[in-house]
Formats: sequence, structure tokens, C-alpha cells
Amino acid sequence: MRILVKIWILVGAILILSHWGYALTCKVTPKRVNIDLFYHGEKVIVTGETASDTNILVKISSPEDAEIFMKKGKVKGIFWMNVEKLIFKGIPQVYFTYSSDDDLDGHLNEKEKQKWGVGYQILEKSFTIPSIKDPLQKDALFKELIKFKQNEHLWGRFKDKVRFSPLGEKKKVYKLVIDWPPNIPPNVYSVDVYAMKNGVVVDHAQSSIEVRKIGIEKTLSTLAEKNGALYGIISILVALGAGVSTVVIFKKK
Amino acid sequence: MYMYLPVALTSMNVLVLGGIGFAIGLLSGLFGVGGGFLITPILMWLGISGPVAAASGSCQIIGASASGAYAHWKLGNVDVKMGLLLILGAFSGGFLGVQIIHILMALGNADFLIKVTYIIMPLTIGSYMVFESLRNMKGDSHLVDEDSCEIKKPSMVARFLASLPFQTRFERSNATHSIFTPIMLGILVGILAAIMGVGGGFIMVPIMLYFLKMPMHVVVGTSLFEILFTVIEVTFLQAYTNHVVDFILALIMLVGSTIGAQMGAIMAQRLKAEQLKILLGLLILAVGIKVLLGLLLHPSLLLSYKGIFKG
Repeated sequence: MRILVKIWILVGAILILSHWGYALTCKVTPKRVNIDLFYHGEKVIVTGETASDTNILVKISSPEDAEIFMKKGKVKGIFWMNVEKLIFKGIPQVYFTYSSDDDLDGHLNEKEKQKWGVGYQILEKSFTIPSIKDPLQKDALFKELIKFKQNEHLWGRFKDKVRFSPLGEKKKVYKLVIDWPPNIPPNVYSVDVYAMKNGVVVDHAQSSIEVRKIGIEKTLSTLAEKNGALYGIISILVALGAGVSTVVIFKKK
Repeated sequence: MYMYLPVALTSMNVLVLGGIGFAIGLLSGLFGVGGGFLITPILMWLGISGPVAAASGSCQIIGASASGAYAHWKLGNVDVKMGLLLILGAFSGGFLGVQIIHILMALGNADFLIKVTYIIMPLTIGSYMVFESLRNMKGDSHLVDEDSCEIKKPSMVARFLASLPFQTRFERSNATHSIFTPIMLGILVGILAAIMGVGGGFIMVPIMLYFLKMPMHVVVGTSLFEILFTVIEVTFLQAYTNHVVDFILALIMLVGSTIGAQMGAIMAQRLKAEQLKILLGLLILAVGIKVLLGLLLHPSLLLSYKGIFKG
């Protein structure tokens, strides 16, 4: 009986592979981005193998969270000022997609986009602003959110970024080189790779990348957060020391 | 070369930050202003969040003002007695200003008042300084003599200040005032500084010049002396309560600003008092115009983070 089951599994696997080519793989290098004193971003490479007749879409995102924003508006009909505090719920801090062709969302149909959480339109459907009920107002605010996030280099959609090189008749290697922005905050980000064909995702691989502070950066952040008084006193003493030592140097000259 | 800023959560070019620090330090040494009203918008323009920019700017000003104040003290340009009385007033005024903000926030129009103050104060002070100095340079002034600030026709304000009790001589400032005069003016500066969220140097300098009738060079030194204490208090409170002081950011800017402050102090000695007043007046005017334009022009982004949160 066991032998029979194993044979059926084997036959199933062969059928799947013959239909979709080869299983999608995903490797992220480096797995950890270390933020030290001289950190200024990093080259991150996402690579793997896929069937030769598929396109690739890579999504890098952080878990959905709530963020608080101030919205500008006109006061007394003249001045542009912060007029409203808005809480955006269910939005990722960081969200990037990279496609292998000229379509930003990889020619996926709406159902597939919804299923895999791909595209700004899908983010718009899932986010809420408790104080805003009007759909038109919510839509306008989401457009402002996209502008803001893209300006901060925290969201982005990039086409034609994934490159292929052949690997035999039925396989190819994909490669995405990302200039990881230095302002991406420490966190664990998920890396989702989608192999697509005829508007649907035919395979999915997942990995992650961790951004973390090390050395003096970690020490200073921890001190600032956990012991603000000591951190403040040290900052003041160093600033005073720097000021006085410059006087001494100038005096000698 | 780039360095990562642990609280601002981004990396910045060291030369750019050092250069900004140098320019601010130069202004500090020249005019006796801390430069907070310039540092914060510049750092925000470079992508650093407002609270981190303001708090780290304060920390940076400690070094620049210590350096500048010491240099001016060695040159005999610091009136310690006047400075201490102003500090007493400014600290009390700062406390009062914070309470006023609380009341206005409860009434719902604090932001409007702050912005309007930010426009009216620099435009009024800046234009007055420029026009008054130009008039003096033309030689048709009937109010003050250059540098000595000797009063020929006492105004109503001057007569009122002279009538206050506890008149005392301020040798360095070459003036006699009641001890209440610098305390009251310090309170006024403190209130305005708290409302506007700045150290108050660019309000304090004109007040020393036009109300306390201090010579320009003593004004610069004494103002830096007063600013030093204010920014020490602000930096500590920002680090302790809000955790927004970026030590690395402040340190990089400090290297430039302390050198700039020394050079500014030397340059200040070589410039005439009226020239200094015009330059400072133009600088203050430029800040007022920039704030005004920022409020009138349609912003490119309608959203901004509330607080320090950056993604």
C-alpha cells in the first residue's frame, strides 16, 4: 500500500513538473543587512531558477501596520498648514515590486493580484482610515500616501528590473539587483517571488531579508531609547568638549 | 563619505553635514544667533524628520555657542551679569510660553498663531534692523550713535525703563538698567521662543541692541552665552522625554560649526556694527519670507509623518 502511495506522489510530481516546467527557487544575498557607522545602503541580489516560459515578479514588503500622518490643508483660505491627524491602518511600511517585463504588476489579472497582494490597488482595498468614511476622500488620500511613500523611497514599483539568462532548454536563471535604500528602517522584510504565465501565478517562492543595527549604531540607539537622561548628558558633554577644544586649537594657532 | 545616523534612521554625506555646520557656526560667531531657525529647515529638506532635526540641531548649537561664547569672552564681549539676568527671564518665559501653547491648543488655534508669529516676527525685526542701520550709515540718525548706542532723545519706552527700581551698572554693556529690564525682556523672548519653537537668538539680539542699548559686539558675545544655557536645557529635555537627539548627526555638524563659530567671531571684530546689523537683518528677513512662501505656495506633498516615526 505504501509503495502504491509513493508511486502516485511521484507520478503527480512528474505531471506537475511537466506542466509547469521546473520549481521556482529563490535566494537572497545577503540575508542580513548590517547597519554600521559607515552604512550607506547595500546591493541586495535576489536570484533563482524558473521555467523558461514564465515571467518573474519580486515583491519586498514589511508586515502591514498603522502609521500616523498629518494632512495639510488651507487655513483661512490663505495658509497651507497641518489641519488633520490621520491614522492609516493596514499599510506596509515598505513595499516594492520589481517585474521582469514592462508591466508593473506582471500582467496579472485582478483575482491573482488580490490573492497574492500585488499592486497598489490591492493595498488601497485593504487599508482603512477610521476617521474617513467617504470613498472618494479615501481614494484621494491613498494617492497622496503613494506620493509621500515614493518620495521617502519606502514604496516603489519598478519594471524591467529582473534579468534572465538561459539554463538549458526548459529552465532559466533570473536575477534582480536592488540598490537597497539606506533609509529602510531595521525590520525583517519578506521577499516573495512569483513566476507568472498567461496572467496567473504558476509558482511562488518566499524568502526574507533582515535589516539590523550593529556596533556603535546599536549601542547609541539602545541608549537613546532606554536611557535618555544619560544619553542626553553624554551628548551635551561631548558637544561642550568639542566647542572648547576648538577654542584651544584656534588659540594655539 | 557617508555615515549612518542611528536616530534619524538614514545615512548622510559627512562633508555636506560638516559644511552646513560650518555655515551655521559662521553665522553664530558673526551675529550671536544659535542658528536653530536655519538648521531645522535645512535638515528637514535633506530628509530628516522635524523633531530629530530640531533636537539634534540644539545639540549641535551647544558646541557652536560654547565655542563662540568662549571666543567672545576672551575678546571681552560677554556681559555675564546681563546674560545671567536674561537667562533667568528666558527660562521663566519659556515655561510661560509652553503654558500659553497648551491653552491655545485646547482652544484649537495654536498652529495658526505659531505660523503667524513665525512670519510677523522675522519680517518686522528684519526690516527694522535693515532700515535703521541704513539710516545710521547715511548719517542722519538722531537716535543712536554707532556702537556706543548713546541715547540723545529718550523715547517713552526708554523713560519707562529708566524709571524702574534697582538700577544697576552693566560695565561691559556700557549701560545702566534696572535688573528687572533684562528679566522682563528675557521673559518676552522666552515666551516667543517657546511659541515659535526656536532658541530665540534672533529675537534676543535685536532686543539687546534696541531696548538694552548694548554695543553690537557685546550683544553677539552675550547672546551666545545666553543661548548656550538654553540649548543645554532643550537638548537634555529632548533626549530625556522624546528620544530624538541624533548624537552622530550633531557630532558631524559640530566639527564644522565650532570651527565656523571661531572664524565668525574673528570676522565680527573686523566688521562695523552697522554692517553686522544689516547682514543679520537681511538674514532674518530671508527666513520670514521663506516661511511666508512655504505657507502660501501649494505643498508638493500633503502628508507628513506625525512625530519622529519614519516608516
